[in-house]
Parts: sequence; structure tokens; C-alpha cells
Amino acid sequence: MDNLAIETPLNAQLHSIEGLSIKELPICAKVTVRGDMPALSAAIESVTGLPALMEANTCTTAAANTLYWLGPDERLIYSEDPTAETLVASLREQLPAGQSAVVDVSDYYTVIQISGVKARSVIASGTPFDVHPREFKPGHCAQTRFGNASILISCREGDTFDIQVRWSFAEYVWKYLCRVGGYV
Amino acid sequence: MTQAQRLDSGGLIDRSKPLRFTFDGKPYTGYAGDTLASALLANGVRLLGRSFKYHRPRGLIAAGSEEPNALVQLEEGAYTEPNTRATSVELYDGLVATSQNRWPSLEFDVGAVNSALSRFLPAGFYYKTFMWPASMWMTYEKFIRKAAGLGVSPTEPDPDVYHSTYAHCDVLVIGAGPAGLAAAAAAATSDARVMLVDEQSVPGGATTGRTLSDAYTQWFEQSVSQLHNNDNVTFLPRTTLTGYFDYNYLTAVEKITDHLGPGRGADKPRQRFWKIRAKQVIIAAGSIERPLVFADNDRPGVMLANAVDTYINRYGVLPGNDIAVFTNNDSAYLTALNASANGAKVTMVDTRKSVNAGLTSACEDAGIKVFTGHAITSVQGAKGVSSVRIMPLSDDSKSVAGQAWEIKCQIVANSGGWTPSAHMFSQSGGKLRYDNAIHGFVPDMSKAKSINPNVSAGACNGSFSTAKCLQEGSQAGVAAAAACGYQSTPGALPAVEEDGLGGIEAMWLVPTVHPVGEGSAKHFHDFQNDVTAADIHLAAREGFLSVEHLKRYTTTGMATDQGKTSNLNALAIMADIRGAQIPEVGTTTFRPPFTPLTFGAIGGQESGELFIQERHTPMHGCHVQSGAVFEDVGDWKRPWYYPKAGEDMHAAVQRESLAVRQSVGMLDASTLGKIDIQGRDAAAFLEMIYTNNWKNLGVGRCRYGLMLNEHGMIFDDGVTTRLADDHFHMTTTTGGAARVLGWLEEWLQTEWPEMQVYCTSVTEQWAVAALNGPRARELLQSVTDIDCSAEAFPFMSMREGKVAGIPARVFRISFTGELAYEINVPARYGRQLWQALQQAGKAHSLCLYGTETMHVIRAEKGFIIVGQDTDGTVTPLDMDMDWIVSKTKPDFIGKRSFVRSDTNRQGRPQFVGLLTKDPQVVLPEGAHIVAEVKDAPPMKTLGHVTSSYMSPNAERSIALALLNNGLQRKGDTVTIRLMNGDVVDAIVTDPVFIDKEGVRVRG
Repeated sequence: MDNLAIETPLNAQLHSIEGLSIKELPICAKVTVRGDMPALSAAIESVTGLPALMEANTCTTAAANTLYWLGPDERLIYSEDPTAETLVASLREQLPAGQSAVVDVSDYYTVIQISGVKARSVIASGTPFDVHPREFKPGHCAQTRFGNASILISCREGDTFDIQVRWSFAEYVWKYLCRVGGYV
Repeated sequence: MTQAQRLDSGGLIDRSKPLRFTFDGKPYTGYAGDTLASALLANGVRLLGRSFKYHRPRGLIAAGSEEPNALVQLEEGAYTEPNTRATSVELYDGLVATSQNRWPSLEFDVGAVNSALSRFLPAGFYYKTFMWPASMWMTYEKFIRKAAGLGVSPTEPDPDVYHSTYAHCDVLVIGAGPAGLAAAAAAATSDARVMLVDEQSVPGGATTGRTLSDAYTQWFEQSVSQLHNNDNVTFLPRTTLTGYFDYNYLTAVEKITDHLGPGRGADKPRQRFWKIRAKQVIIAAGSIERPLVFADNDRPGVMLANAVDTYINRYGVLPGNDIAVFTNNDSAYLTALNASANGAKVTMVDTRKSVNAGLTSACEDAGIKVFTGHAITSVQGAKGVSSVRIMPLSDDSKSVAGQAWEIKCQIVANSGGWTPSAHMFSQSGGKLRYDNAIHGFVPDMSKAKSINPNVSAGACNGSFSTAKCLQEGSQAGVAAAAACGYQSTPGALPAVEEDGLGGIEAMWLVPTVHPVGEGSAKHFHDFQNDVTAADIHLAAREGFLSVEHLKRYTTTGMATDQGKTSNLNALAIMADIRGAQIPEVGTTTFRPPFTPLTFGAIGGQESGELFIQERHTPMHGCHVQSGAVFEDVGDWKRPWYYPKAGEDMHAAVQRESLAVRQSVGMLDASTLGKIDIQGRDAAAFLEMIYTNNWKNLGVGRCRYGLMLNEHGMIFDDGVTTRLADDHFHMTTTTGGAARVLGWLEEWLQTEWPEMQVYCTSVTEQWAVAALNGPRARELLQSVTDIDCSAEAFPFMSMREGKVAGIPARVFRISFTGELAYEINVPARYGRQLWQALQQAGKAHSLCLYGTETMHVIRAEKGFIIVGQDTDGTVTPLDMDMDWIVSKTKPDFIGKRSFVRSDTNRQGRPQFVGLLTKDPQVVLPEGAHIVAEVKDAPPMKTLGHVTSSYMSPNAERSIALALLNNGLQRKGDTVTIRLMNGDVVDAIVTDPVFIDKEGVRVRG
């Protein structure tokens, strides 16, 4: 597999203008975990090092892993590993059989990172979700829409945001971000 | 003419910056800070357009966005914009404006004959043409559409770009007049997020250009600068609130570059559409002066009193040297004194018999002659006022009698009182109450809609004095911030002299020497739609008494200005006719938009390639390289066919179809919906979702399933594979992916929450290349470590391994009836997989094929496409698929519907094949099978063609159809009558045209 080149929908493009930088992040492992969280949290924590009992619409990072709250019974794990094989295997091993779901969605989505002083205005152009710094702070995440695309948006720090978007919508969201970047 | 009406000093214009513009081709000059209206007025231009119906000469009435008359065609070519209000167009150098609704010229307009013929074009005329004679409407319509109407739309694409955005705030303030500024300033002393929008280029509202007091000026400048410098405040000038929707969702349009002129905004968007969610709204929208309704009150030069004030104060323009001020209230005295102080010869005509002595003596001191208890009974000057005639009013003010006076003037400044701008409160769902003190409707806070927290402050609340505006605004700002949890510390408000409406006596219809509707004079109340007091009388006579009927019958208030100046006058005149109180007649509904807005702004950036997403598979670039022609499937771009040089679609599809059955073809199947299903109850769940059995499916095995809805009708289909005991991989149709996931979730969440099942969409996780054809095995085997022999890898099973070195799941399933493999790899490797297979395929005569060939060859096998061969009204039994419906399962979705009499009745449409008697004839899809051919429809339909192709493998045309009782009719000849009248005979057959035994797929 080592000789295989990894492709992403935006081929790691970069768009940069004053006050705004948009880039596609390198592929990372993404795994959806579903199940009864109080029951699963210990197992998730043992694998990721992150507590799965967390506040709604938040995300937390430790070492190479980031854990996102997507719903009462749903978490998403990012790992810096390019593939999810190991992560999926360890989760399946730890989680009680038949009472949860572990799904590799590494290629289902790509992540566009947007940063700069214009970032919040650019995002506000496409999403009805309030991204004001008072409401949407580092460690916050939300599943919402951007234009016609479903996205998961998270605030990394200050004016840096990760937008997770489905592979087939990546080009659309990219063009959208670049276009409104010139308008705000 | 060189700005003859421009004052030497005063106003917020910059006399050092002259701007050239043309109106109807004639060059003029104005100054920076002018509107088109003020610049025209400065140049003495009073005639600006012709009216909608009667083509009467019309001029400016107002100075703000309520202007009903001065609608012009702005600019030319792609930039042209019809019906722009000259009062809202900021002047820029090179502006080109043209008058509307006149032919051949503004000065001489043939359509003016309508005015002379007005007896034959009464209110409701338009509707009457619908009624009698009905057959003539088509003829009338062309004439009416041409004779009436306003500007023209551009025919070219819009060259501008637009931006739309969402915004959130704690406190939204609508209007930056004294009330709005005070509100925003107060709220902004807290930590609240404040938005302040105002349609003008500068804040100040009605006070713009006026000097109230030094304290006020200081407060104003300080407040504006503090708001601009406060990071918590978004202050948007040139921004009109267009609509107020539930849960405090409001929309606004910001004009960003309009004031610079077309094409001069560099790369900035022309306008921005704001979609605002506010916790609290403060409406400080001000008020609109009402015209008095008097004889021929539409002559160019008859203006609202405050407009005359505004032109003097803000633009340094004295609209006329001789001005008659006509009023029923105190506020117009300020206009009279202001005009007089700026050099006009002013005559005051007041309908009231007794007037505050302070006002009359001030007038006399200024040399203004005051006629109290008088009315203007006629206005002379068709294309511009030359004089008015006034007469004393009778004791009851219903008629005139006595000494008439002729007053020479170019301008009639009139005021019938002030109407609070309750548009936004009304749009928010609040009800209005009539306030007898001001003779106008004001917000009734006891009838506000609780889901839309707002408060009205200042003139829109009926509080007209500047002092009251400041006070109410500041209080509202504090209260709104507090409601959001923020504490304000508002500063002191400046002292200002008492101004505002003062005293008023109602005067809704000014009498003249003839009763209304008799004689040649017209009393207009709605200028833009040309509706007169006589029309209201006619409406009443014909029984259209309620406000909503009155509105539609006379079209009052239905023009682009939505009756901003006319509605209350219309209501009051109707109330008078009915002998009712105004509130009994009611108010019309205020609707968005407040002023017209561009579609461009609403669309914002979502135009062109951002209008709708184009979804691409990971292999998209390969298809482009291979010269594919694409088909839209949902949002997806899928290769439709791959034409070789010189091939048309038919030739390409015939070639591709033969290749699939003779060698091997490859299809990009990545768009198929894929759902990962896990949990200990997964198999039990699938038993309920599908009609067939799933518990007994072995791990690594695949099964085709049909999903029904509760009515037993086919909903979706696809192949599902068991990856582990409690783990399945479901596929759905491309278009059904989202719908099916929603369907599964709905059942899990609402009906079977006890089930331990989790569904996750994985559609785009996997890139899928489907190999189909007798040589598929040899091709696949050449690139994989999986044993592809028939024994090791049987039909309807799945193997994991490497394909071209890429980790893959290979499903041996077939939508062609050929030996087939669907190779799934993580999307990141999709392009490599495709390229590797293309490369390896050269040795195996590999042919790329698209969706059209996929359709043809699946039809050769009679495989259905849900949504094409089914339409939501067919059961599996109708499709001759009872083999897939379990007879042993206790339940599944749709099962109960099979005992309904309708699903069991004889004569239901059933799925069959059709072979035309002439094998070269390809039936059109949708063609009807008829019981008996007649010359023209209607004909009794027995069914219709659902799929139809020229099949190169069957070497003839083939078709699939739904035919009443079709399963019992095989061998019969049926008749299809085409739209063009042709009649085609066809034989009803089994829907499988190739390899009926199914040998190839198992090879």
C-alpha cells in the first residue's frame, strides 16, 4: 500500500488572500462511533485517550486524536494516522459486541481549514449558524449547512476553523468559500 | 438651465463636486450628495413621468423611499433597472435616467388619451374584461399590458455580482433617525451585539440637514462615531429592511456600490442581502406624511410638505419660488416658514378654521399670507403647477362656497398628517390600533406576536416630536439589551425644541365645486396605481366594502410602493362613505418587501456554478479525459456515454452495449447509495425493511432486496451484503440514498427504538468500478490476489483483497445479467483503481460505458429501475416479483397492504415486455397503450411504456411497460397511440429479452 498515492477531492489546494487563507488538510483517519455513550465512554477513552462523555457540540483534542460530539449517541474520532484500520480494530475490540457501530468514514469527508480575520464573515455567508466569537469558540463544533452542503464545522483556535464536508461536495464548498472570500 | 432652484448655501451637498447626468437624453448637472430627484429639482425639472393607467404627467411627491410617482428607468443595456425611485437614487457622475410609461415622449404621450377615456376605464375595468365576453380576454390582455405598465427589464444577463449573508445579533435597530440612534446608542453601552440598519446614506432620518440644537448636533455626532467604533455594533447605512418573518428573522438589502454607478464597484458585490436573526428588534422606522386628497392633486409640483423641507435642508434646493402650503395640521407651518426663510413667496392654506395663534402670527411675521378654513379646489397646469384656486370650506367642511382666490405657485406643499410606518410591526404579526389624536394607526403592543419580541419607538409609534423619539428610543435600547441579559448605561439625551405634528383635524377628502367623480378633476389617493376617490365610491356602490375587497377592486395600495402614502386615505374615504369608523374598515396586510429589491441580491453568491452543487466521483477526471458526455443524476455528474470520434449518442450506446455482452465493460458506480448497518438487531431490522428473508444470509453473501412503503408500494431497491453477523453493507439507488437513510432512521427512532441498530451513510467512502461482461473475470483476475474462479467466488458473494494493489471489497453482483464484479475501494484510491483497470483492460477489450448503456442492458434483462419502471403505485406483485416477497415472515413494512382489496384486484397495471411488430420502431417512453384508437384524445388507456430502447444484443427494439392485467396478456397484441398520431402494434411478452435462463450471470 506504501506505493499508493493518496488523493483527496481538492488535492491539497490552497487559496490565500489578505485576511483569509483556505486549504484542504491532509487526509486523516475518521471514525464514527455510535452507541449508548455512558456505556461506551470508558472504551472510547481507553482507545483515544479522550473522554466520550462531553458537552454537546464540542470537540476535544489530545495527542493525535480529536473527538467530536455529533449527537447523544454519536461521536466522531479524527486521528492523524492516514488510515483508520488500527483505530477501527482497537475500537471494535474494546466496544461491546452488537451494541455499537464503528464506521470508517476517512474518505467520506475531507476537511477544509479556513483562517484569518475574514474567516468568520466568509463562513457566515453560507451558514445560518452563529459563528460570532462570543458564541462559537475554540473547542466548539456544530453540524450545520453551508450553502447546499452539510458540514461539520469546528473552531480550532481564534479565527481558524475546520470544515468537514462530503467528498462530492468539496469542490462546491471550496468554490463557495473562495468566491465569498472576495466579497467580505 | 443651470440649477436655477439651487440655493447658494446650505444642505449636505458638496458644491465643489459637480456631477453630470442625463434625463431623457438631456444633460444636467448636480452635486455630490444629491439624489437624482434633488438634482432634477435643482434644475427645475418637475415633469418626471407618466402615470400607470391614465398616463397623466407626474412629478416628485416625496423625498424618500415612499415616492410613488418619480419612477425612472435607470441606466441602459445590461445595467438597466426599471421603476427606480428617483428619490432613492444617489447621484453619480454619468448617471443616465429615462422616464417611463410614455410614448413617443414624456412631453407628448399618446397614452394620455386614457385620461380622457377614463369614464370607460373605471376601477375594476381590468377584472370586468375577464368576465365579458370571456373570449375577448386574450385580445384585451395584449392591449392592456401594452397600455399600462412601467419600466422595462434588461434582456442581458446581470453583469453585477451579489453577496448574501446570515447575521445574528442581540438587538436589531431598524432606522437611524433620532429614535433609532438613541436606541442603538443606549443598547451599545452594554455588551449586547447590536445591528443598526438605515436605508439612507447618512444617519439622521427626518432630521438630516436640520439644525435642532447645538446639544443635539453634539450628541448626534458623538453617538454616530461611537457606534462606528464599537466592535459589538454593525452599522449598515444604505440598507433597507425588506421583510420581518417569524422568530425574529429579518431580511435587509445593503446597497454597496449602487451609488458609485454601474461597473464602478471594482470587484465588490453590488448589493448584499442580510438574513438576520435578532433576539430583540427595535423598530424606529419613522413615519410617512400623507397627502391631502384634493382636485387634480397629481399635477407635477404638488409635493408633500416635508419633502419641500428635505429638499431645502438636505439638498439646498428650493423646489419653487412660489409655494402654496396646504395643510390640516401644524407640522406644515415649519415648511412654510422654512421655505419663506429661504426666499420663497409662500401662501398658507389651512383647512382648519381655527389655528394656533402662535403659528399664524409667525407666518404673518414672515410675510406669509394665511388662509384658514380654506381648501384648494383646483390645480392649474397640466405639466407643472402654475396656480391653485382656493375657496372657503363650509361649516361641516364637506363642501366649498364663497370667495375664490387664485394663487400663483409652482409648488403645492401639502400635508394631511403623518402615518406611522408600522410596516415592520405589522409584518411581525402585530395588530394596529387607531389613534384618534394623530389620526393614524399605531402598533398595539397588547396585540404583538410573542415569538417576535420587538418594540416600536418614535414616529413609527405615533410619537412625532424629536424629544419623544430620543426618549422612547433610548428606553427601548436599554430594555432590549436588558432582555438579552445586558446592562446598559445610556448617556444623557440632548434638549431639543418641541416639534412634530402639533394639532391636526381630519380632512380625508377635500371638496371642490363638483361632487367627487363629477367634472373633469380627479382626486388621487394612490398615485402609482392611478386610483382616485371616485374609484372608492364606485367600489362601494358595487359592494366592495371591506378593505381587502376595496384593495383588489381598485388596486389601491397594490403598486410597487404598496400604498405607503395612500392606504390610510383610502380607508378613511371608504369609512366616510359607509358611515363607519376607520378601524371598522380595517387595515390591509403589510407584506414584504418594504421596497422593491433585486433578485440578484436575494440569490447572492449562489448563482452560476454555486447555484446548485455539481457532485463528482473520485474518477471524474478520468471520465473527462475519456471524452465522456455527462448526465445529471440528482446532483451528480455521471458519464452518460463515451463517444468515439465521429460517433453520435446512438452509435456510442450501441457499441458500448454490445461490448458489455461480448467482452467486458466498466461503469463508474460510485454514486450508488451505501449505508453501513451495524448492531445485534441488524438482521431483524432488515427483515422488517425488506420484503425477503435476511436472517439466513451467510456472512460474505449478498442479496437483492425490495423496500416497500407502508402502502405496500415499491420504494427503493438494492443489494445488501452481510459483512459480519451484526454488520451489513446496504446499497440503494443513486437518487434514493438520502431518502432511504432518512427512512431507516425514522423507523428506528420512532417505531423500534429498542432495536440495537446503527445506520451510517458511507456513500462517498467508497469509489466503485463495476466490471460487466464475459471477460470480466479474466480482467479482474489479472489485477487481484482474490481467487476469482466460479467455485471460490460465486455469484452474490463478496471477497476482500487487493485489486491493483489497492485494498478492496469486491462484490460479485450484477445489474446487467452478465458475469460482473463491483470493486469498492476507499475514495482516495478511486482514480488509481480506474486507471489501473483501464490499463489492464486493454488486453481484454475493455470498453467504458455510461448510464445510458447501463439502462439499455438492464432493460434487456428486465431489471427494473425504481422511479422509472415504478412510480410509487406498484407492488412487487404488479412487477411480477412475488418471488421476493416472503410468505413466511410475520411482518415487514408494507405487508399488511397486500390484504387490501385494491392491491388484490384484477386489472392492476402489471409489468411486461413489449415487442413492436416492426423491430425497428422504438416506442417513446411514456407512450400510452390504448383500448381503442380514436382520432384524438381522450382514449381509454390500458397502460404505458416505462422503458424503451434499441437493443443491439436483441437486435431489435425492446420495451418495458405497465399494462392492465398484463401478466395474463402475454402473447396478445396491443396498440400504442403516439402523440403525433402514429399507431404502433406490439406483442406483450415476458420482460426478459436476453438469456432468460440466467446462465451468463452465474458463469
